[in-house]
Amino acid sequence: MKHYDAIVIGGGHNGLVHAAYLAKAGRQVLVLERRHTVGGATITEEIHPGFKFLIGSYLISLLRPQVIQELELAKHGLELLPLESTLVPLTNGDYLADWPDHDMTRRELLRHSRRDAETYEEFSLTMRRLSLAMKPLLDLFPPDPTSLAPRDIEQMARIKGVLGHMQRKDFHTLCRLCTMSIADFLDEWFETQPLKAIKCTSGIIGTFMGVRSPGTGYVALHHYLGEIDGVRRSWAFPKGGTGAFAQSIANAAKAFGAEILENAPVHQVLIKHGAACGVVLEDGREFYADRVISNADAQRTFLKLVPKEHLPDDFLWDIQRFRSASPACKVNLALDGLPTFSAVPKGNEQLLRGSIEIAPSVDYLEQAYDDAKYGGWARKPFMDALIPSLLDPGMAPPGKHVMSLFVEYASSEIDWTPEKKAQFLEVVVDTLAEYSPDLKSKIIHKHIMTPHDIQEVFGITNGHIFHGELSLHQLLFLKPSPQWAQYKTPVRHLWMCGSSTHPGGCITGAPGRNAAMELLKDWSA
Amino acid sequence: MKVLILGSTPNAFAAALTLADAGHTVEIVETATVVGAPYVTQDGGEAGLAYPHFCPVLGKQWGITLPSLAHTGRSARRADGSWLHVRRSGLIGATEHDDKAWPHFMTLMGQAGELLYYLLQNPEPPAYLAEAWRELGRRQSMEVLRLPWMSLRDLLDEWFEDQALKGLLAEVALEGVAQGPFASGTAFHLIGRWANGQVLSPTSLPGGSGSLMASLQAALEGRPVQFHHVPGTPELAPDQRSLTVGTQAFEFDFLLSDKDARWTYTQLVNPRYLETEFNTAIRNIRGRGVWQRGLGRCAYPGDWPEQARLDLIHWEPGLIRLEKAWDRVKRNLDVEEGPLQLCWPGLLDESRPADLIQESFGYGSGWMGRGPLDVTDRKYFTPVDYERDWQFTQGHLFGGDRDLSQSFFLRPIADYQPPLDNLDLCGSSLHPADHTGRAGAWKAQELIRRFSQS
Repeated sequence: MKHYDAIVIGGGHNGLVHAAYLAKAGRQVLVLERRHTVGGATITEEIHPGFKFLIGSYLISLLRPQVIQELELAKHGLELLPLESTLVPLTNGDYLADWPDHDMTRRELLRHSRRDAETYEEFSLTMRRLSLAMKPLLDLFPPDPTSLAPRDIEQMARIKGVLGHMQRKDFHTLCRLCTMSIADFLDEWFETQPLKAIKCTSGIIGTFMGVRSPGTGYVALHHYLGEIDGVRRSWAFPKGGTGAFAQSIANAAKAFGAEILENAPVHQVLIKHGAACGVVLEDGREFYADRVISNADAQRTFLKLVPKEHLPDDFLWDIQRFRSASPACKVNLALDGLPTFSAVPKGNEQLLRGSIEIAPSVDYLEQAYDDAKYGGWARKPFMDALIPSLLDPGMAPPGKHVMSLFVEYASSEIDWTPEKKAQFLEVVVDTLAEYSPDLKSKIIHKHIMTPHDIQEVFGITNGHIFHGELSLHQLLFLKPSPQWAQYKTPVRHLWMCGSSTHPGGCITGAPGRNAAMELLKDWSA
Repeated sequence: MKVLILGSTPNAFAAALTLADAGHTVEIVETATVVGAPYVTQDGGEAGLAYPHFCPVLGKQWGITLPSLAHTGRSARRADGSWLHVRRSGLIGATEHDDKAWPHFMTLMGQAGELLYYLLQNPEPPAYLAEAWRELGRRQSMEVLRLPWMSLRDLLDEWFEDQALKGLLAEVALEGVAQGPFASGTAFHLIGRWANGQVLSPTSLPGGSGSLMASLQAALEGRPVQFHHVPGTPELAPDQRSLTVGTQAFEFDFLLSDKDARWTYTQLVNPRYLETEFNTAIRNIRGRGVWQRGLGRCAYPGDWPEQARLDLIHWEPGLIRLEKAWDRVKRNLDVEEGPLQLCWPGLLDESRPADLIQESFGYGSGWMGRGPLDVTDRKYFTPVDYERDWQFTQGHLFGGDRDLSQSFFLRPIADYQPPLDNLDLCGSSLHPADHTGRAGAWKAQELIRRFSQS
C-alpha cells in the first residue's frame, strides 16, 4: 500500500486549495472525497435535466487573489464573471439599485434621498479604509495571545501593527462597528429604508443573528473584505457555477501531483501512539500518511471522525459548545423563461443580471429573524436571488433559465420532514411571487436545500455554511477552540484546514492556504 | 476658580468634594424635581436604582461610611410553583448538573469580574491588568477573553440546563438594558453586574438609597460648597458665564454637567453652536430606559418559602420569555408578559414598612400591574417619569447604554473632547458609566490639573 505524505479529508474548496499547496511543495497528497465529485458545498449539480443548479455556494468575492495566482487557477479553467448590480425590488412598484460604478449608484440614490446620496460618498470611503486595514488579518495565522513564544509575539505585534496604522477615527469606527448591530450602525448613516436593508444583508448572510443583534457589524465587515480582479467589494459568478471553480482547483492540485479519490467517505482517523497516521474509509479501506488534515468542520472532525479517547476533555467541550446553529437555506428554480419583476421598468431588464435582494426594509429582516430564532422559519424570508443563466447561458437550455435563491431564516433545529420542506419551499416561492407575478407560471422544477439537507449532502454539522457562527467569541484565536486556533489539533499530526478555522467561512481559500503554509513550516522544522 | 456643578448624583458630589478640597469654590445646583436621582427613596421604597455603591476609596477620603444591608441572594419561582435559590454558597433546588457547574461558573465570572473591576476602577487601563490576566493561566485567560463578546444565551446554554437559573442570571444582567439575551455582547453586562456584586449579594442601605444622599450632603458641611435645589429648566447665558434657572442666576468660571451627554449637548448647550460631526455623534448615543419600578403594599405571601424572604425574587424567569418581551419592546409594542423582580425591603430593614413591595417590570408599560400578587396603593415610576422629572434622556439612568460599543474609550462618544472651553461632563455618561462617584472625582482631578497649569 502506498504511503502518502498527507491525506486531506474532504474535497471542499479549502481542502483542494490545501492539497494543491502541499502538492506544489512537492508532497505526496491524497484527497478523500465522500461524494461522487469534489467541491463540497462549492458545487454545480444538474438536478433537473439540462438545468445546472447551485445547490451550495453561488458567488465568489472573498477568494484570496494569492490563491488564484499561486495555483494558476485561470490556466485551469477559472473564469469569473463580475456581477453588474444589486437590485432591491419593493412592493410599492419602485426599486433601488446599487452598482459597482459609484456615480451610477449616487444618481440612483438621489432619486430616493439627497441626504443619503451625499453620505454614501463618505460611507463608501470609510468602509473601504476599514476593509483595507482589516484585510491583512485574513492571511495572518492567528497567534496565541497567552503565549510568549517568539512567533506568537511576532504575530501579535503584526496585528497591533495592522490596527495601529489605522487613523484614530477609523480605529474607533472599527471598534464600534464590530460591537454594534449593523442596523444601528447604518441608522447613523442613512435614512432610506431599502438602502439600509440592502447594506444590512451582508451582516446576516449565513449568520443566525438578526440585523439588530450586536455582532452583525463584524459579519458585514467580513463580507466587505472581498475583491474581484482588484475591484474591492465586488462579487462574481464563476462560469459554469461554483462547481467549475472547484474543478479548477482540483485540476491545479492534480497538475501539481495530488491524487483525488472520490466516493471515499472517511469513517475514522487512525491514531497510533497519540499521532494521526491515516484514515479508514467506511468501506474498510485504509490509507496511511504522515499527516492527516481535515477539511470537515470542527464538530464533524472531532465528534465523529476522531475517537473520543484521544481528545482532552477541555477541548471536547470547546468543540461541543462551538456555535453552529444555522438559518440558511438554498433554493433553486428551473424556469421556462425569464420572470418579470413588477418593480423593474420595461427596458431595464439588465438589472436582473445582478443579484436581486428581497429585503425591502430593516424591520422586514428583523421580523424574519424573530420568526425563526425560537426554532421556526421566517414567514417572509430574506432572499438573495441570482439568475446565473443570464450571466452564463450554459447553465440552462436555450431560452430557459435557472434561478438561485439564498434564503434566510429557517432554523436548523426544525425537524425537517419532507412535508415541512415542501411547506417552506412554498413560503419562499409565494414571497418571491409577490415581486414577480408571473414567476409561478414559469417554474418547471424547484429544489430546496434546508440546513438539514446541507448537513446530509455536504456533511456540514447543522448545515452551517460557514462551519460555525462568525460571532466575535469564535473569531481569530478563539476559532474553533481557544487553545487550538493555529490549524493544529490536540492529536499530533492531525491538522484542520476548513472554514472552522481562521478566517472563517465564505469561498476564501484562506484557511486552506494558511494551514498549508503552517503545516509546511512545521514539517520542515 | 468658581465651579458650578449641574446635577446631584453621587458623581456631582464627588466632583464637588474633590474641587473643594483643592481650594476651589463650588456650587451644586439641581434642576430636576428631586434631589439625588437616580437614588430616590419614596415612603421607604426605591423609585429609581436600588443598590447604591459609592467608591470606597473616595468614601474613606471624605469620611463617608455606608452601612449596608445585604440581601441573602436571589430566588426564582418556576412556572410549576417550585423554587430555585441562588446563593454565594451554592444553589438550592437546582438540578444535579447545574449544581456541579455552579462553582466553576462562579470562579470564571469572578475572575472576569475582577479584571473588569480593574478597568472600571481606573481612568486608564492599569499596567497590572495584563499581568493579572496572564496569571489566570493559559486555559482560564482564554475563557475570560471569550466572555464579553458572547450572548447570554450562548454563555448560559454552555453552563446550565435549568431555564429558571438561566433566565434569572439573564434578567440580572439585562436590567435596564435595551437588548435581548440572544444578542452578542450581552454577557458583558453580566460580568459588569458580577464585578459590583449585584448578582449574588445586592446590598441596599438602611432607610433606602436616599440615605446615600444624606451622607453625601453631610460631607459637604464645613467645605466651601453650596447646594441649591431649583426645579426648572436651566438656561445657559450666551457668554457661557452664568446659568439661569427661573429667576435665579448662577455665575461660574467653569460648568460641570452631571446630566447625561445627550441632555447636556442638546438641552443645555444649543447644538447650533457645536460642530455637525460632534452633534451627530451625540445624537447617535444609544440609551433607552426599558425597565420600570412599581412600589406598593402587599405582605410577603405565607405560602412562599421562608428562604426567599430576604431575597430578590424573579418571577418565572426564562431566556425565551425575556427575548420575547424584547421582541415586542424593540417594535414599541406593549409587552403581555415580561421579566418581573420582587423584593420586600422592609423585611431586611426595620426602618421601612414590612409590607412594602418593590417591583421591577422589565420592558414596556403594558406589563405593569399584571403581576401575580394582589398589590394595593401601587405607584409606578417609568422611563417617561425619569426623563420628564429627573432629566435623564430617554429615561436611561446611566446616560446611555453600557454595551461594548459605548464603553471605555468609546464613551460617551469616540474621542470625546469637550467642545466648549469652560463646560464639561462629570456624570455617568463618562467612563466608568456608573454612579460610584469615580467619574466625577476623575473629571475634577483633571480640571484641577488644568486650572493649576493656566
